[in-house]
Amino acid sequence: MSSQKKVGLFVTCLVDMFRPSVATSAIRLLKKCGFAVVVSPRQTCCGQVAFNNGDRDTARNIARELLYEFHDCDYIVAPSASCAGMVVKNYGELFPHPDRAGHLFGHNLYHFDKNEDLPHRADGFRAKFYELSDFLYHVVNFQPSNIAPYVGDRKISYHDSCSSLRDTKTFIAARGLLARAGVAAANLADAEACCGFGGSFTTDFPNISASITDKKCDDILSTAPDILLSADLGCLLHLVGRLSRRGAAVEAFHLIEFLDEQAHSQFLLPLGKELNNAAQKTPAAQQPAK
Amino acid sequence: MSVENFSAAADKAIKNDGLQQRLAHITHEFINKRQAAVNAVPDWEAWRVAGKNIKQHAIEHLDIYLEEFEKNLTNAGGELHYCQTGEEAADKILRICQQHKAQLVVKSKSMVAEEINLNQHFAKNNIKLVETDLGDYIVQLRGDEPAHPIAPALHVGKAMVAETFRQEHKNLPRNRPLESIGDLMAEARGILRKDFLTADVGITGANFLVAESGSVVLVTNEGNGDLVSTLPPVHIVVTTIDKIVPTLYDASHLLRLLCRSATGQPITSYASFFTGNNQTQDGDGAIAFHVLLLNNNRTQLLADDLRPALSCIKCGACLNHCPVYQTVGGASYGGAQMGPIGSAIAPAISGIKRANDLVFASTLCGRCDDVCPVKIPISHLLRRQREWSFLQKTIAPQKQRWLKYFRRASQSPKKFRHASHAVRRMLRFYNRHGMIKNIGLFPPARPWFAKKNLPSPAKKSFFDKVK
Repeated sequence: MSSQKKVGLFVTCLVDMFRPSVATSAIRLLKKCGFAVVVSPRQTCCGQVAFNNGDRDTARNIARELLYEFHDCDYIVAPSASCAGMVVKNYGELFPHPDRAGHLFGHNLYHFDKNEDLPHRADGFRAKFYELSDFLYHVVNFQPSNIAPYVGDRKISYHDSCSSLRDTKTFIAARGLLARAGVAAANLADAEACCGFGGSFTTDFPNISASITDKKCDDILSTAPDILLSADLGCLLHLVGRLSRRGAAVEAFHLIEFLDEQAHSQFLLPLGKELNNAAQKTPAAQQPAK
Repeated sequence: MSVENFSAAADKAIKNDGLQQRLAHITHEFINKRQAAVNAVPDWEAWRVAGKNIKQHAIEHLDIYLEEFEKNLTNAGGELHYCQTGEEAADKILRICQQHKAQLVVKSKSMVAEEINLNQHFAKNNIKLVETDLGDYIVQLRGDEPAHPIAPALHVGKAMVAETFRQEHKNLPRNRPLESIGDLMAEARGILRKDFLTADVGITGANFLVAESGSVVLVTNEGNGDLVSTLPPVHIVVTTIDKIVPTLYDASHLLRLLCRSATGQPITSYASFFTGNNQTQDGDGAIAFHVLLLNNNRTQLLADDLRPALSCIKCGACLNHCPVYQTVGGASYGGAQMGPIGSAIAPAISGIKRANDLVFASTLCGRCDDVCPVKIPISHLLRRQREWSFLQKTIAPQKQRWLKYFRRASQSPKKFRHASHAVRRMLRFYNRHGMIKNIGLFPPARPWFAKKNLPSPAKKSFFDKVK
């Protein structure tokens, strides 16, 4: 029996699809801290898409699955404040204790099997759930290796996601980890403002969304960064997408993969960049494509 | 304009450069002033909690306090009228004016009057109604809609105001300067003063109704509220049931929160307390004093989890801090309910079908929750309204379809991987060196590409790798 503590890594749906390197880096960093890392192949997503669009039952079913899937972990971490915020802030509402259950225009919001005792399960789950950077910084006091050599004299700007500012309140951790890793990041001017992503908001109201994003892009560009970091992939995909459409070249990384020294030594490419197949075959082209 | 046209109105507002500039400037001014005022308070958080408790208690005991208010108001010589719907309220006000043979009615800031379309109702019945709040006056002259509950003419620049005055004010000498704010104020004041003195009826809104004294509390910065309520012989207050607070002490605490959150002032220039008519002991007030309490489906909010929405004290802080409001302005919301809290209340008043776009027009960034002086969990209320919209199937059919697919896929890991794989394959088909600029006709994600690119999904997903 090992004394290793078990950490469940919740791989967010965006990380799974768009940026698996965030998850691999997360596993490396967590292992470095001495944890046994578990990834559940049965996890799907945190249920936020359903919950924010009013589909409470689906959100609850997804959440219920997670409660069971990770129940034997000592901690569960997610490399996203958005998902962590969903769990920490909203799972309590999805599984209310009977005396606190509300009602919506006569619809009872407490309608699941009373034998499962999901409310208590959810409470336990929420207490063990952390945003990854917060977990690394505050819980395990992680000392990342110095990445200053990889950064060189490139300027870094950091974008705080709304969830990290307000839902999980973990925005401090990112700055702390970067400082420990020997690099500093500039804050954006109106750091508390939303980037305009908002999940399905951006497809429901593309024009409003882009207009909000433009303000954020202006704030980013006014700090003249070479590298844009954030701990939320959703914001990053959105911002990089808009910046790229505007023709601005900023290299964007997720905070976690950026902190992982090994990822750097394997020529980690920024978001939205890829070596094309022809170039990949020739050993001379082992440098990031411009 | 109306609630269901939100999207179209918003798109128009985004293209209006002048509006965009003024919105950016004014909302930031509001934000900075509020922040300074809040910083000056040693324990703002405790003030918020106290404010929340006052409103919550009042809303939970609405029946008791409304009765107490009615008793004290009647004792002080006032008359209380309950109105269920907007039409009923507008009609009632019109009838009171007709009883007093009113020719000219002056009005001070009231968003409830906007809600019940009072101005249009008076115009139809040939009674002249003049707005006296400078912002509202400008909006009325221009035939516009208010853009902000406390800064209604936020969307109109100085030069535009001067132009409007030159058009609308007869006998305005051509050489009269209308450059500075002072010039414009003086010009409006000159015209409005005559109306104050000759009006037969004055209409105001209310910020609070005090149960223990039967008083109506009104805050203004221009003093027009005082003139409207004291010069004409008849004073009609039009407001809603949720404005009730138990005591004067409660009202004074909420005033502190309201003014700091709204304009960053410790207190507004005028905080007026009206109690009854002039027949009572102190002899102050109008000869006839009427208070109209509008329900307009607010009791529906009382009966479910949306109840905190009724705690709103209409400071406008959530609007000023809302990325969506900052982009589209108030008129886009198509009614008196604007901004995040407006979107949470609008479905109760206009019906979820008409107000459906409003409840989805939020990034749920939560900044409104943080600045609300009475701690209303606005983003939570918006989610609740979305749930209602989902149950009522008022979401656009295409989106409903995609939510259905999501529902099916997300509850089975196998289906979820399949779906995610298919989406990834599809997106990667359009991948050019890691960036997708356009995805042809693939429908659900198309709006994404209207204004931005998308970094390409990975060649192999994480779960493909660990499989």
